[in-house]
Amino acid sequence: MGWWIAVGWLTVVALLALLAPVLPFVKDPSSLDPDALRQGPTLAHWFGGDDGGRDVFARVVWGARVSLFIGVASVSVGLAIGGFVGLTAGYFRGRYERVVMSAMDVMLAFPSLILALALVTFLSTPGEQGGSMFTVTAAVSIIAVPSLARITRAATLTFARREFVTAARALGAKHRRIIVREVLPNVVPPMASFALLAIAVVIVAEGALSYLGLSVQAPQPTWGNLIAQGRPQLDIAPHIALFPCAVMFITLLSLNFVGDKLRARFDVREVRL
Amino acid sequence: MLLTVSRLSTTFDSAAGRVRAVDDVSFTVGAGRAVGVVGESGSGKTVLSRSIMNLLPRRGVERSGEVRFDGRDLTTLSTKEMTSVWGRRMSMVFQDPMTSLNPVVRVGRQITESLVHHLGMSKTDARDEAIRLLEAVRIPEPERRFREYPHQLSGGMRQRVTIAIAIACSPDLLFADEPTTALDVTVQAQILDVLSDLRTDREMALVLVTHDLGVVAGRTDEIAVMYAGEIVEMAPTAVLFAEMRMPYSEALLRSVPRLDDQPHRRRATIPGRPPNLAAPTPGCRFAPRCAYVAERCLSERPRLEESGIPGHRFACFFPVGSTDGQSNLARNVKAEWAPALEIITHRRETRRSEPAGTPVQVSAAHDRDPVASPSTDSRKASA
Repeated sequence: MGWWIAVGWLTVVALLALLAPVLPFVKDPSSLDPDALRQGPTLAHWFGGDDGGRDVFARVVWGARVSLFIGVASVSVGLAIGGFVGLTAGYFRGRYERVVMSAMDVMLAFPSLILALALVTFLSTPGEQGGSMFTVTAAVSIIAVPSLARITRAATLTFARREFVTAARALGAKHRRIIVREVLPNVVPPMASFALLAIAVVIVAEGALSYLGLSVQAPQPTWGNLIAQGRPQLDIAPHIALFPCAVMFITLLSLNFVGDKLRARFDVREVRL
Repeated sequence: MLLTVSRLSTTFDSAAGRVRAVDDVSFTVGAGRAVGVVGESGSGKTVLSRSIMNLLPRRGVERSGEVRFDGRDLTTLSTKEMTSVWGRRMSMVFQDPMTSLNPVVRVGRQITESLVHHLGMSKTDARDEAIRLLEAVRIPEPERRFREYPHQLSGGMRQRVTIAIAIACSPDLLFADEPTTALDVTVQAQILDVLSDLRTDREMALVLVTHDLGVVAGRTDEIAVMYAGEIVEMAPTAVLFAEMRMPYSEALLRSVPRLDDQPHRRRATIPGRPPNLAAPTPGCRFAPRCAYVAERCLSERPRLEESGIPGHRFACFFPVGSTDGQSNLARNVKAEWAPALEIITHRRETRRSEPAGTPVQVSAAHDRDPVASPSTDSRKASA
C-alpha cells in the first residue's frame, strides 16, 4: 500500500516534469500575474503566486525537470563509471583493486558539499555565474561514483567467488564474458535499489548547490533556488518556500521508500533459492 | 593416453603454513575410460581435479609436475590458451548444483551459452541442441525446463542441468567432482547412471571423484585411492576389490554399509582424523590411524610400488594379507586390547576364588561387561 503511494507519487512527479511544456494546466513559469502577487493557493494558482506574481505550481513543476534530470543523469553516469570500477575491482582483486578502491576512499573522505562546490567552480567556464546544467550534472556524477563503486564491488565480491563462476571458467568463458553474463546479472538488483537512494541524495545535493546559488541560475527554476527565493518572505508568504519544500520532501521520502523495499526484495539469500 | 599426470604437486599458503594438498601424484586416463578417485574429506581429491584442469586460484598456490593432455602440457599453458581447452576438450561437473548454476539466468541460456560461443551455433540451432542435451540427461519436459530458472528445479534436476552444460561441447574428458554428494540417495544412482551412459554414448573419458567406494565400484575401469594428498593405491576396479593391499583402502571399504549387515550393527569407522597437511610427518601418513602399523611406518615413507598384478600399485610396507601385516595386526590388536583382557582374566580369577553359590545373574552381568566395551570398535572385532 505504502509502496504503491510512493510509486504513484514518483510517477506523477516524473510525468508532470516530462510533460510540463504541453500540459494545459501547467502555466508559464515566468509569466507575471499582478493579481497573484504573494497570493495563497487559489483555483487559478494551485500553489499560489510568488513575489513577482508567478505561478508557484508551474515553477515547482519546471523545477522538478531540473532536479529530476540532474538526479537521474548523474546517477546513471555514476553507475556506469562506479559500476565498471566496482565490478572489475571485485572480480580481478589484487593490486588493481587496491589502487582503484583507495582512490574511491579518498574521494569519499572529502566532504561532499565542498567537493561539489569545488567541482562546479572548476568545471564552469570563467565568468559564468554558478553552473550550467552540464557542469552541475558532471560535478554531482563525480561525487556519486565512489559510493556506487563500493556497493558494486561489495556485491561483486560475494558473487565472483561463487561456484557458477568457476563453472563458467571450466567451460572456457573469458573474463569479460564472465563479468558481463555471470556476475553482472546478479549485481544489478542491489545496484538498482541503491541507485534509487543515490538519486535522492543527488537531488538533495543539487538543492544545496542551487540554494547557495551555484547550480542552474535563476530565472530558470530549480527546487533549490525556489526555496532560496522564498526564504526571505517566510513570515509574510510562507507558501512560496513551503510548497517546493513539501514536494521535494515527499519525493525524497518516496525514493527512499521504494529503494528500501526493492533492496529487501532483491536481498536474495541462497537459502531461499 | 588421453591424460598423463606425472609427479603433480600442489601447495597452498594457508594461515597454518604451507599445505601440500596434492603430493607427487601420477596416473593416467585412457580415452573413453572411467577412473574413480576415492578418499575422505580433505584427502586432496578436489584439489587434484582442479589442479589438472588449471582451475586453482591464482594467488597463494604453487603447482609442480606435468599434466599431459592429448600431447600438450597443460601446466605450461596460459589462461588464454586454457580457454580453448576448457569446455571443448575437458569439462567439469561440480559438487553442489545449488551454487554451480547462476541463479538469475534461465537454464536454457546457461546451456546454449557455450554452444553459441564455442561451437558458433546459431541461436535456434543451439536451442534445439540444448533441448536434445536435456533429453540426454533424462529431464522430462525439456522444452518447459529450458525456460525455467534454477530455483524452479529440484536438486537432482539441477545436477542433470549442470551435466548437460558440462557435456554441451562434447569434451573428451569430464571431471565429476562428488557429483552426487549434495543429492538424495535415490537420485544419486540416477545421476551416476546418466554419467555412465553419456560416457559410453559419447566416448568420453570420465574422472569420478567421490568419498564413497560404493559409488565407483560398478562404474569405473580403474580406481585411485587418495589419502592426505597422495595416491596410496591404484588398480583396475576388479583387482582393487579382490586384492586390496593398502590398509586405508580396506578401512574405506569396511566403512561402506552393506545390505546383508546385521540390523543395528555398528558402522565401521576409521579412528582419528586425517593428518595435518601443514605439518607432515616423516613416516606413512596413514600410520597413526592404521591397524597394521609398525615402527618402520612411523619413520619411513612407503613409496607407491607395483604389486605382482599389472596396473596395481600401492604404498605400504605391511600390506593387507601379507604375513608381516597379519603379525603386526595381531600384535596391535593384542596391545590395544591388553587392558580389557586383563579385566577379563582378573574377573575370571576372582570368580574362581569366590565361594560357590554366587548369584548367577550377577556373574552373567559381569561377563557381558568387559566383552561389550572393546567390541564397540568393530573394526578390530572383525579384523
